[in-house]
Amino acid sequence: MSRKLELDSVGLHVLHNALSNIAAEMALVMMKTSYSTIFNEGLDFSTVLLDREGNLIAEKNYTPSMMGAIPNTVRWTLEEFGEEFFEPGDIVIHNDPYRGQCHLPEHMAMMPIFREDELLGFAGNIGHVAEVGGKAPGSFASDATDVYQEGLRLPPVKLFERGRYNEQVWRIILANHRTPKNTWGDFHAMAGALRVGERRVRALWDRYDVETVTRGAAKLIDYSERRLRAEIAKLPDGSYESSTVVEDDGVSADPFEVRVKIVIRGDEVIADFTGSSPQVRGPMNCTFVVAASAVYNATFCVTDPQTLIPRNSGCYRPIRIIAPPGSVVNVRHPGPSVGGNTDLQPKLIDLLLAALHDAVPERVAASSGGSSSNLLFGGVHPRSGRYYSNYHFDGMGAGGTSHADGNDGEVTRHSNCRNTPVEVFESRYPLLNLNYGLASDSCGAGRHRGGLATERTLRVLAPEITFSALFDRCKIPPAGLAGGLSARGSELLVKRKGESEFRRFDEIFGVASPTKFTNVVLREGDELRYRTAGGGGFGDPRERDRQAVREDVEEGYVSREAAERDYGYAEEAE
Amino acid sequence: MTAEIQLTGRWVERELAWNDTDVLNCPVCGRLITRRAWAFDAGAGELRVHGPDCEELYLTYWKPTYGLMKPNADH
Repeated sequence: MSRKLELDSVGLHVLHNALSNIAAEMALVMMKTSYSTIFNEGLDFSTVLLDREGNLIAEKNYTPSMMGAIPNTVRWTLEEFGEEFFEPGDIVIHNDPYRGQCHLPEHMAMMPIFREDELLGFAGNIGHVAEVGGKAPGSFASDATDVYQEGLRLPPVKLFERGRYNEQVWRIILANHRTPKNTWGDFHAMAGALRVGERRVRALWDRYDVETVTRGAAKLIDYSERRLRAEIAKLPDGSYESSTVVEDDGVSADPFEVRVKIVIRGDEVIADFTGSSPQVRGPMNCTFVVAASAVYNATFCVTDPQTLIPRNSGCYRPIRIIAPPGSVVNVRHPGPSVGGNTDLQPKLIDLLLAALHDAVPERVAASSGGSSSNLLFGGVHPRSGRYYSNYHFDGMGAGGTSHADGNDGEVTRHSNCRNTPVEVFESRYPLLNLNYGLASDSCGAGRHRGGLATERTLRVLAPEITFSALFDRCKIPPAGLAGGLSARGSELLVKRKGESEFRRFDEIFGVASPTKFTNVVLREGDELRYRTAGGGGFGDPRERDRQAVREDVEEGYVSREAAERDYGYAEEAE
Repeated sequence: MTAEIQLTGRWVERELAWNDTDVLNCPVCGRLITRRAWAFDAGAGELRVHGPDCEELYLTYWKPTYGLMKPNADH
């Protein structure tokens, strides 16, 4: 028998927690049952509940980079196929970047939730599948010039129909991914999470009745919209502009530009990317939903940095986005986009925050490392004789703010992902970690310094491993803000077995970019070393607290020479 | 919040065969347009956009900022 739940502020709070806990439990299922480290260690996924129109009502958003896709993908699928497309027990999978996904590796799975014959909502998740085919192991081809080189593209298709395997679709997918066993396990983790979500929503209906839960979810969305509009209304009305240059697209060495104008008018925000470069030939373009994610991320950073407002579709309503089709912020078919999600998106967030600095200087950060530092590798494991592939990323420095130093070794702010422990890494892949830690002097100096980058050296233990990389902020380092200094950019080097020095990949292998390349084969004994980018500093370094400078030197975060140069540290010591 | 404005558009259905893989984006906001579009007179011809909110965005922001948008013109 149903219990009564009054939809007053207390009742809505209870309902919000109940729905959010369902999404959190779905996330635990993903983490505990998946095969790939990108899910069970990296947490590169999000779990959500949506209403029958595709409006987000609750989430466990491990990865904010998916925020733009979540409110659009289910709705656009509903618009394209209609409600009648969905039947009880169905699970639909979808990774089409031109129809609402972030890039090809990101797959959204959605499961309709029915009450008898009536569709009432969806359980959903988005996850970065570690291997989806294409020209490079790990499906990150830095020199891809179209989407077909990036992997297998799936419009919305059913993995399960009325609870039964859609074997034809599974056969196509498994035949086109390099590590089908992992795909099998990871897709089942996604499906399992959705089924748990469906069961828990049904249980919630049983506890409070369907009408109460449905009406309460709608009220929660309206509540979030009111709260976010009230926060936006506190910002000064006006037009705020900024632009940034991205160093290259992986195919040519030419830089390209992204521009934004943010208009705050009353209780709404318009982010207008008109004037940005046309889409580039390489994979640094992003899709509409990736640009949207960046806008939501930056807007929430300055309006609700502590996430006090429930994150649901109400939060998206006051935010308008203009992303011209055919530009670097809204790629058209068949343009490639795998790096747009991982490496253009963090720079869009930095760009948006730089524009908002004039409106709310106390709430924005200097540039972050701004690159996911994507390292892909694969081959036949000498121990098992089986093919493996991995998508690996590491932390970079976050930008300093008006009130604090940037975080050290943080995986980009749009991903919120975790690193993979060395023990797990080495047990799965034939690579030895020779060192791994924070990189001294990689941060931008400032009253609040940027965060430190990370550095790592790997030695190849297999006869050969095929590597691809997509690092950015190598030629153009992360900028400081309000008088803060730039950080050190990223670096990716290789030392062949028997040689004594590390050199750049473009010097040895003739690739177009020193940090973006595809399918370079390293052999046993070769070593690969990389450093991610640090975070830019905020404010005049000479105003930095002297004790903080001293501690940075003592900890080895900043060398004495850099402290003397940037902070005047030695002068004071004398 | 901007003042209420009078929208003049209407929904129009798009013919979309299951084997048609073309993707159409809204010329105002850039979002995907699937089986239906919102059509309105933009001053230099009829625009087909993602929804009524795009007509409102065009009238209150896009046109005052950039001028009239011609149908099928990228911006």
